[in-house]
Amino acid sequence: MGRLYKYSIAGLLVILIGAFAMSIYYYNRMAMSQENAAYALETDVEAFHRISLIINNSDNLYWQRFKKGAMDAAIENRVAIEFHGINNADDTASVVMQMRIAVASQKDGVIVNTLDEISYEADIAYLVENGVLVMTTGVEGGKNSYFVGTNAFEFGQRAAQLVIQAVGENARVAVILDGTTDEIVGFSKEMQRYPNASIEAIKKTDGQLIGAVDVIQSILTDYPEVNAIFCMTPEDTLAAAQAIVDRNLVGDVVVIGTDLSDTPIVRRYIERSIIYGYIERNPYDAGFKSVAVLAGVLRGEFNPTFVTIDLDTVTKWDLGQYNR
Amino acid sequence: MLSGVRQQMIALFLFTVLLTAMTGMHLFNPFMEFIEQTGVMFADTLFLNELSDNLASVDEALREYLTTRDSDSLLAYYEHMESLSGKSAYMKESKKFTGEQSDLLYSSIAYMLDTYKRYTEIAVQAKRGRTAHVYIANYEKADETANFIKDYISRLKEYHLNENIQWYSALSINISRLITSNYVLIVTVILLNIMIILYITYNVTSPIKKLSKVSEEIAGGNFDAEDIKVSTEDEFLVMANAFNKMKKSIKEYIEQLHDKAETETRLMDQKMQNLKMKALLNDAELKALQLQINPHFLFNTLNAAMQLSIMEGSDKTSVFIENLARLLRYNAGSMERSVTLREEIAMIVSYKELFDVRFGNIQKVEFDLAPEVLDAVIPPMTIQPLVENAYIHGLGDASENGSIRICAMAEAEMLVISVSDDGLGMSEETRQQILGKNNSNEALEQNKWRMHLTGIGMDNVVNRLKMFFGIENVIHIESRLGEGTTITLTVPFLKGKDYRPAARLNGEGDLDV
Repeated sequence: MGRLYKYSIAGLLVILIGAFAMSIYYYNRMAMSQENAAYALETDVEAFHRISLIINNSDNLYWQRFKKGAMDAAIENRVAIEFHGINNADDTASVVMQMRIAVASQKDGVIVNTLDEISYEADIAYLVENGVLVMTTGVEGGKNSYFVGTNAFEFGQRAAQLVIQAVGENARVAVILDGTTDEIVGFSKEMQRYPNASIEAIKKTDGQLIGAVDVIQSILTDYPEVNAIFCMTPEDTLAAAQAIVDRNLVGDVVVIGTDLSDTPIVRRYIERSIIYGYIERNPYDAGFKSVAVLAGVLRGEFNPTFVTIDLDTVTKWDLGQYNR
Repeated sequence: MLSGVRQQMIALFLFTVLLTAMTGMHLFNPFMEFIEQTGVMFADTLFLNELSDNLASVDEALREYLTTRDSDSLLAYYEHMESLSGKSAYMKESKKFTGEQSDLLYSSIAYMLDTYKRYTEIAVQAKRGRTAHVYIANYEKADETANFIKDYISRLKEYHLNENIQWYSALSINISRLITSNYVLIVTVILLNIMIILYITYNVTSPIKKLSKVSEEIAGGNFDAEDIKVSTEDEFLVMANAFNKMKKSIKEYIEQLHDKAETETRLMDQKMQNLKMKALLNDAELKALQLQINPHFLFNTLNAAMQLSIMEGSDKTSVFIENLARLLRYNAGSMERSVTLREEIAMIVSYKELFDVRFGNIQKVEFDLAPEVLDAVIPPMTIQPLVENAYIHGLGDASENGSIRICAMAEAEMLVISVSDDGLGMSEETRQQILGKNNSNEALEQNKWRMHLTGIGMDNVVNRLKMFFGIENVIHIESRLGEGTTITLTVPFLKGKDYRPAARLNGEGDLDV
């Protein structure tokens, strides 16, 4: 056997190992991509309890973070979560239908985002009657239900304080609503403490960035005296900041936002004082705790019926401290 | 380490089989999964379709019963509901309810079927009890639940479809690369298997081929064929080594036989030569004895004649008779003995004097003898026949003033004796006859003719010299017609009078080693 023969054998073995490795690699990649597609936000561990999560659509950054927290808690507590995204927060019919489905499918619990106490009172009672534990977020669900969330009134108050801190007592504020009313109540109440300050406009957006930009542009056009904009969603906050930059109003108008993530673009806006600061409602904690509390109750543990999530205020100064 | 051929072959064959099997299994696996996944997909879809149909049948039977209160409808309701309950139970038993979305939908359907069953049963009971508002309310709830179930079935199908689409898209992205890798894998495995088969075949047949080639060469008598070289350390190495040893042994044995045969041949040749020499000696002695007719009487007579001539004052006659007696005495000696060149020359001098008396001193004999060669040993009657030939044939017809020249000298440990005459010379044909290169009858006749006084011919001289000294080329003749002849004898220069060729022979003629 010559040297050429030995080299050929060695070469073929190398090719063989390479082909095997490639084949296994592509096969695994195929299987992994399939698994990733199927189980991205789920767990394959057998669940002790089944609950429905009826919240706003998953495009919303707040609810995305809320859902993430809920899913993590579900894995930790071995709870199977059936997620139902509601596209429009005002669509009570869809929320109610999901509640009835929860009863029909004999769920152990329901976590639902309610905008007010009255709209879902009967439905929450129906759930409770049929042995389904109810956890509300947003506003309290009333008797026999649990609540995990921030205090909307306090949220409004903190936002107003941030506005005064940013532009002083002569604040001329435009408010972009998220749908609930408790926040604006708290905000108004706090603003009333400053006689020279006023709320110039209260508007709603569709929750999408492009739509929000249009609304904010119109506010800036229609209300040139506005020197501060308070937004209740991260999407609206970013849209407002972009509109100020587009209209070259940096330094003239500031944005007070809500629930922004610590991203480079947010930092840039804050460092340039386009966004003065934002109120962090900690949606991940809210999602996590809502599932954890519900699972605890289903396990028979004692849990308080009212769990508040702390609010945080983040400004340029806070980011500076963080950077240090 | 596998050293045996069998173990090596088994290991290599097992390797190829395992490699092929592993490759096959590896290629087979994705397709099995594909088939399995497809099977599950179809089975789930089929089950969900049956569930939808079953639900529709229950709903239809229930509606008919609630509107007509027909007992057949009730039976149909129970029948379909039993089937539906079975499916619900199956769904709960067959699946573990995890957080996975399809499992959640599946479990929700199973529990909703229970809820649906509960509402329909209450509705049926209420219908029987004729409480319209109750059965209507529960029918509505059942209907709502049925719609939820249908919606969930639809969502589950959609989910399965999406799942399968995702699976297929993941598959299709990587499938072409997977197929390419698998093609490379298959080709490589085939090539590797071919190489291994070639390796096994080469390893097994190569030593056998070498063995067969060398065997053929040996069969053809070539024992110098190269040794078989085997690089492996297995049975072939043992076989090759044994074969090489066997070849060497046979070669040595044949060489021994060959040497023995050569020695025997040489001995036979020696024996033949000895026999020939003895025959020649016998022949020469016979010839000499023919001349010794009562030598004592002849010598006594010659002595009486010599004394008579002295008394009568005939000195020449007495010298003549003395020379004759000396010549006859020399000739009468044994032919087996050796003589010195000096003795041979003395005899030639006597012979010349006889000739001078007989024919008159018309021919001149000259000697040119190196003193150191006078004691050289030669057979008797070596030079005398040459001188006699020169007298009779060389000068015979040249009536007077002829001369014969006898020279002897040493040259490179050889004794060179030449006898020259300036007589008639001889033809080339005669020269060849004397040298023994022409054996025709005429030539033999001439040889006979050349025997004179001693009766000893040239061939006898030459043969005796050959046997005496054991060499072949002893004579050289140069002759030109009308100019003369020179016969040169070249023999080893030996000294010592006791040297006798006859001493080399024992009584039976065997070589006395």
